[in-house]
Amino acid sequence: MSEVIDPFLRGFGYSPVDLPLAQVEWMTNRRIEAKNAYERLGLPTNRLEDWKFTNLKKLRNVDFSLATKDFSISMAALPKAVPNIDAHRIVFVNGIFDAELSAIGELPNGVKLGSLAEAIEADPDSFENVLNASVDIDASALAALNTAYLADGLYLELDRAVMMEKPIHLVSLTYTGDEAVSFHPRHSIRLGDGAAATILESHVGVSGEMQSFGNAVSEIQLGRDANLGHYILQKEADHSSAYGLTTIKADKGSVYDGFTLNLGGEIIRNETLCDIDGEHADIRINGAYHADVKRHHDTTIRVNHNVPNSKSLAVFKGVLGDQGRGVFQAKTYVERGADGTDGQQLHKALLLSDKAEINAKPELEIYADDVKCAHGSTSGALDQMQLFYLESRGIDEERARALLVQAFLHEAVDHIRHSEICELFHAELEDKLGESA
Amino acid sequence: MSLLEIKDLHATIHGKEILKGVNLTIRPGEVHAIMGPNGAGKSTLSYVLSGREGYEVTGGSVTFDGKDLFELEANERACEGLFLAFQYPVEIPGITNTTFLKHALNAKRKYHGEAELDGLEFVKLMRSKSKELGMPDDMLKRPVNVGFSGGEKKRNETLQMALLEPKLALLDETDSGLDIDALRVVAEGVNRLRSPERGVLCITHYQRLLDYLVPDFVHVLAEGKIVKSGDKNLALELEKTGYAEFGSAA
Ligand SMILES: Nc1ncnc2c1ncn2[C@@H]1O[C@H](COP(=O)(O)OP(=O)(O)O)[C@@H](O)[C@H]1O
Ligand SMILES: [Mg+2]
Repeated sequence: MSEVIDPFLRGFGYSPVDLPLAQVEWMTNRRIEAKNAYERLGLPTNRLEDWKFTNLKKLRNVDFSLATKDFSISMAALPKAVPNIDAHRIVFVNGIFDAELSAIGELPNGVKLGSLAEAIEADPDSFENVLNASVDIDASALAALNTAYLADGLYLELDRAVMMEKPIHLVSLTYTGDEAVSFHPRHSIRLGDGAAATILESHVGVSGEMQSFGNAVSEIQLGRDANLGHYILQKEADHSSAYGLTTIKADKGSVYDGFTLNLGGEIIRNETLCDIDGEHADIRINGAYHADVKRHHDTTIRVNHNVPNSKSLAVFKGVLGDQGRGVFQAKTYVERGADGTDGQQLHKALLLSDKAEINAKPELEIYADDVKCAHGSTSGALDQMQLFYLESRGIDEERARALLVQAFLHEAVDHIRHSEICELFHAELEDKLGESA
Repeated sequence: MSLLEIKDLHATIHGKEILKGVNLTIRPGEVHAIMGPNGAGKSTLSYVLSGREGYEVTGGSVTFDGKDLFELEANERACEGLFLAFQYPVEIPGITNTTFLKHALNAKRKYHGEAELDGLEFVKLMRSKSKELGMPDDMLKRPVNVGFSGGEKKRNETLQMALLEPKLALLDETDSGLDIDALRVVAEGVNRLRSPERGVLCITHYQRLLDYLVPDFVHVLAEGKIVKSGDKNLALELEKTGYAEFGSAA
């Protein structure tokens, strides 16, 4: 193979022996395997069906440095933009665990929460079959890249029947100093049968002049009747791009309530791959995004209903302003024999400018007979009659527009089942859009 | 001084002339009714006065409380004291009624250089007004007009009017689609607002609302012009004869 022209291998030369946990043999082998897979696949281009609407070309010529532990950033306190909630807080700066800023606090019995790197170091063998159990490095270049650099991230494991009262607050800070930086966090989340937890994931950009690329993989495994609320707030800086792959394996009767609120960043792609492997699982992958300036927000979802009688819902609402671009690709796949499947997808876009763009591609692929599946997608401008109604009550045009934009997004946020986080996300919207609706 | 003075008003929608020389003067304290066949231009008149986009004024003038109405944006007209009760109140998902009303009231206060009300003060005021109209609290928490029945929507319009205390209320077919109870509530709401300083322009197709809201003057608008004016007896007459003589079957 000729010289690799690649922003993530070129800059610093790939050297797995210098990575943390190099002493763990299976880890090093897997990294090399993954690096080879990534070289084979290359950074995704628009030629791939899945990447038709999201172009990573901009990243190609950036001289990214890999965030390492030595590249330490001392931050006296958490930035103000990080939501303040009563939670078990675990903080990562450019993907690396920061014990100083974290405040994990006392954990209930049967809960393991901390740095994945530390957990692997303590007991390497127990992770060999856990990591990448749901990730196919030959199918996803970025997941392969993530594996090639796999080092740290969130480790959460709940024993059978453990219910956590307080949410877990996973704070991911992106900090760029004088150099463009890339990092590849891996989060491993496993809930035992009947266990319940809530995760708030806050992505906050600290300084914004240089570019960054965060390439995260979260592997989520839900036992029977487990319940996970997973809420992602994305407030990256304007020059930060991010890819996040979340895989969910859902066992019988498990519940996943997910919501992503994308407010910042440059090129952001959230990909969710869910396998429903048990009946009566209830999966909700919802969200809202506000792509103003030149932001590009891509939501790509695939839900596989592999067994009968399960439910999935994906409702997304997006506002595209200025030169903002939105992508919504969602596929609900219903396996042969998966009768009684209820799969719903809905995407609604509000276009505020002529230069804004939306590409929505909801899809159903159904091989079972008796299913209740639907998908829909709409896009349009602000409703003139609503605007006039507000103005006719004395509200000026600018504020009326802002209120309507917010109202559009607030409606999506109401899907969040966790009331405190639902309120928090409403407040974050108001904060960004500058009106209280 | 007159509250509203419309002189030879001409207006078009998409190049089509709908108002063809309307003249009307409303003095403080007066209640006027405009009746007329469907398609006569009644709603058009209310939209032109309140400043809806897409309506082009091609001639004439309107003075509101001494000001040139067409110099004011729609929201400024509202802040100056013009209120349009919509024929079809608009649903706004995602904004609660309370928030909407608070923004509206505070916009007006701000316009007049008054301090904005805080959440608590506002809720107190709103509760007292909504009680008068027999509105349940949950209607205030629900998104604006979403899932409201026809009667609830009109009640909601009345509540907005009660809060904003306009100098001139334009009621566009406020009685359409109402049952008798709702009609009474709405009429009482308007009557409560009547004062020697305020005016009401009530647009209606039917006479029944005027039983409760007794007008000082009744006008017939047909084919874009006021073709006849009289007192409340004109409304009773029209109820019997219909609008046939004014060139419409309605
Ligand atoms: N948006 C519009 N575009 C074109 N014509 C319209 C529009 N709205 C109303 N019109 C026309 O204007 C005329 C007057 O309508 P309107 O003012 O609604 O009458 P009324 O309220 O008296 O029933 C009608 O002929 C109607 O078809
Ligand atoms: Mg009408």
